[in-house]
Amino acid sequence: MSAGDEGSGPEVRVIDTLVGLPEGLHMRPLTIIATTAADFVSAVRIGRPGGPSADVTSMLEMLALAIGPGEEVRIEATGRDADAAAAAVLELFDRGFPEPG
Amino acid sequence: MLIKRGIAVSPGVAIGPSVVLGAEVFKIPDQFVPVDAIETELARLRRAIDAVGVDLEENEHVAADRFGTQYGAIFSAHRQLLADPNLVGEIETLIRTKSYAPEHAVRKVIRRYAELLQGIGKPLLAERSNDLLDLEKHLLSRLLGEPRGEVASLVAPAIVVAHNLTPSETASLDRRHVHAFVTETGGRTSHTSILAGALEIPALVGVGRFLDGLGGGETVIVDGDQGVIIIAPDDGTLARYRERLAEQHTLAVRREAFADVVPQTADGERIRVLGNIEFPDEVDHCVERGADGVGLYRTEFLYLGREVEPTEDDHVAAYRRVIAACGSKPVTIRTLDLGADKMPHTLLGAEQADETHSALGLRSIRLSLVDQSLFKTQLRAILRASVEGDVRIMFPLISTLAEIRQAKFVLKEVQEDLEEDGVAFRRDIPVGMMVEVPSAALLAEEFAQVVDFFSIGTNDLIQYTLAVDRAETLVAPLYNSGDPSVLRLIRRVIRAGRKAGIPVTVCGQMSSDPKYLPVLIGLGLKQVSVTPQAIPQVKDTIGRLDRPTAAAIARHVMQLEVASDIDSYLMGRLAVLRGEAE
Repeated sequence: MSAGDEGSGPEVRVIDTLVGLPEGLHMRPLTIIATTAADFVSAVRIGRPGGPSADVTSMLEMLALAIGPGEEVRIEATGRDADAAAAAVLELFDRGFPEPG
Repeated sequence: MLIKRGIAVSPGVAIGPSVVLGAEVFKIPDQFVPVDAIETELARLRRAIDAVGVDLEENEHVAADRFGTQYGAIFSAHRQLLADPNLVGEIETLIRTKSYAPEHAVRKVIRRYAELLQGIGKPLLAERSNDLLDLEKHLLSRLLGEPRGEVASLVAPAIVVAHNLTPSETASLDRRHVHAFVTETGGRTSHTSILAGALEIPALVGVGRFLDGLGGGETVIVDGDQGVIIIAPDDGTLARYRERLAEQHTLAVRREAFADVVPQTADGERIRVLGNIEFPDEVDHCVERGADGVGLYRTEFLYLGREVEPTEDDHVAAYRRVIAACGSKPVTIRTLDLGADKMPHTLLGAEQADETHSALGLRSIRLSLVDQSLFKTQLRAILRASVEGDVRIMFPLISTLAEIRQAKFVLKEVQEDLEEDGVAFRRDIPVGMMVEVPSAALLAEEFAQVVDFFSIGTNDLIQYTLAVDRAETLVAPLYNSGDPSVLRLIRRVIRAGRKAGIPVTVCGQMSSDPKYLPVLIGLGLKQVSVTPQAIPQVKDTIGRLDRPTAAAIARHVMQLEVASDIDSYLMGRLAVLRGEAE
């Protein structure tokens, strides 16, 4: 998927990845996802592919998904910087959620 | 005198008056607010949220400065929870549509989410609900205008006892005044427990109900080594613990002085002192005390508190951390030592696993040999990590020769797999076993032909030899390290090791207790592995011993028939060694 034209409706970017963290998606990684996604204007949701998803601004929604280690996760970004937002979140998974800064 | 057991999350001993922290007793004045006051109430809520945000940021910095960034991160997660639009949105809706007072709305919404997290049925998530309740406390005290800091305001030495301590309360404990804490609830992996370890004060969690009979001010003893709290101790118990406390103080003072001391007896016999660890970060406690390596790296933490098996990479990461910190010094990794009942995801299935929960059941190496995929994952990881330092593999709970042969066979299979995959590993990795079942001690000479080293796990050896479950208070007095039967088994293993030319280590709690060192060294032991906190004290005791004296002590002890005689004799000898008596 590539960047859509301005004005042709919101762009959507979907990426599936795996949770490599031994503890699954708990408070620390979720905090990092929330703060990372806040840098973009796109709305970002995470969830199991085909299952319910959570808005990444809501720690509680994300916690309630209870996504464990080794599970598949779908990152879905909607908005004009969807590509960049989804990529930034994906990078967190790839790099094992380093502490920011 | 009342003795209660709990989960020991931070070692050490403390004695002091109890201070009971009340449950969250916020009196919420009014449930509803007048309709025309709704806007002012909403503004009041927002001010409280902002103020709590500032507090949390402050907490984050304090925790990060005091303990390290990973602890600060606990509070940045709290801030993120506070910023959750659902949470704030629902609270505001309740105020707007139902005229709830903000205090009432906060409680209602947070409690609902906490119950939701508890109801998912995953222990780790249930513990996170505690983080939410921490947030509730914060918000309520801001809204009600009460300055927080019940805990921070303690000015005299005390032992804090509470139904529950939140992470921020724990982080705000002042070590100068709070000498230990004990809570009725909580688990090993809760944030409160993690912070307790960082504070380095003795702590117990998950004790169960014990506060009902406590008014505050009673003398309590917290033993973070044995995992017990003793309320209103009798004089004898108090005297015994005062002694341990005095030892602990001396120890703290000597810790630095002994970091660079190479442990050897007064007549020049080098004794190796290694550390026992459970979590990877504990390796730092060993290194800073000048340990000769890690003699026992327990790996159960990798399996507990999670729903699925740890991956090979999870294992490797945990091992690398410790190996790197140890440099060229040895790291002995013990394979899984848990009962099937604590492992929800083995091949057995939950129903069958539930059938076995005793110390005599399907556990430890027995489980590894039944669920070999689990076992092989761990072995692969240990082998992969073996190229980065001096790594050794140790199998726990070996009771027959067939078992150790089978374990070595599986290891060989894994080595062949790695070879095929072209993955580097150390081919001649030393393979040893725990000697903790009497059958293994009795056949030590035969076992010595099959393994590269022995490590005597005294805790289990005592339990299995004397048929005493040390977690049961009614029989606890029967559990005694100094029992002549136990000492004879230890002597047998040390002799078998010497004869075969393989190293023998003692790694149970017995080796951390300085009074047993003379007899162990007298029996010919040259290596101990102890809790990191005990390293300076053990080095000190070794330096005061010479081999002829130790041998004489061992000879005398071997003639005594009763554990209590042996203990009092050894206590007397230790006092002499320290120049405290005669």
